Amino acid sequence: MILPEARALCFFGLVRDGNSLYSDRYYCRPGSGSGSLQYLIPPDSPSVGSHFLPHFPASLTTSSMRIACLQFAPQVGDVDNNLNRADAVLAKANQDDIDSLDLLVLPELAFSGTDFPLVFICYKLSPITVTGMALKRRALA
Amino acid sequence: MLITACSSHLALSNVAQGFNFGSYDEISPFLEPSGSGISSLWARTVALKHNLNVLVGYPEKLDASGNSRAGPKHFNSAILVNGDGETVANYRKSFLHSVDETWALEGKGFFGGHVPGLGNTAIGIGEFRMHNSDCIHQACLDV
Repeated sequence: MILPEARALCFFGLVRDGNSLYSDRYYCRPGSGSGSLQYLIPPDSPSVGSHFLPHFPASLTTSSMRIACLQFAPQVGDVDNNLNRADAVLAKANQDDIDSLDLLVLPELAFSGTDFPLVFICYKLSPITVTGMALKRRALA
Repeated sequence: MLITACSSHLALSNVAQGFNFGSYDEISPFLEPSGSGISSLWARTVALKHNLNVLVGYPEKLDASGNSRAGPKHFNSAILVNGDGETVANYRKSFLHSVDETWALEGKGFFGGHVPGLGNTAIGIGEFRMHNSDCIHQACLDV
């Protein structure tokens, strides 16, 4: 697949894997070159939520590196609430877990939010629907 | 090697071509000065409190000091702060999505370098395809 040399890869995302679409989850994969994509949040969990995952499963790492992805479903333009939401997720997590981390990863445009997910959702709809939503959005702006 | 992708989504294939979502006006109130906005402050606070590296994406506004004719430059960026609260990397998104192109300039490729405590690290923001794409391999080569 991708990056066979990487020891670890982590990202947030909407993922199209074959014919399946998974949204708002984050993933990691091992660096063995033969491993498959691992779902850190099971595909049947709620598609949008606030999560803190303290580390890659031990079997996926070749060292003791500990990484966490902070996901908190940021809302576009709602910076204060987004900050509070991120703080709340961290506050609920085990503080010793956080202290033992090497890296904490937040999404792209984490606190300002981004329209990307909506774009992606639109992609799953028909072109006519996409155009309609764009026009409606423009009208509301 | 560690790859961190500060990404909002993946596996896009020309999803938004000709689809003008977002604009400069929409992002403008949220632009942050390079490495010193609210996102960077949050990252430093958490990094110092827990002694860890924090990577967070933010909309960067680079003031063109010393060049009055050029306006400020904007990037879809990610800042990496270490456990001492110091900036380790400020990556600017390359290979922009059309949504980004409405307000951001393109960065100069993926970040790749040695980060104390993490090792060789690559940082990317973007739309990485799971199949039939060599997009992310470029991140690998950078390291």
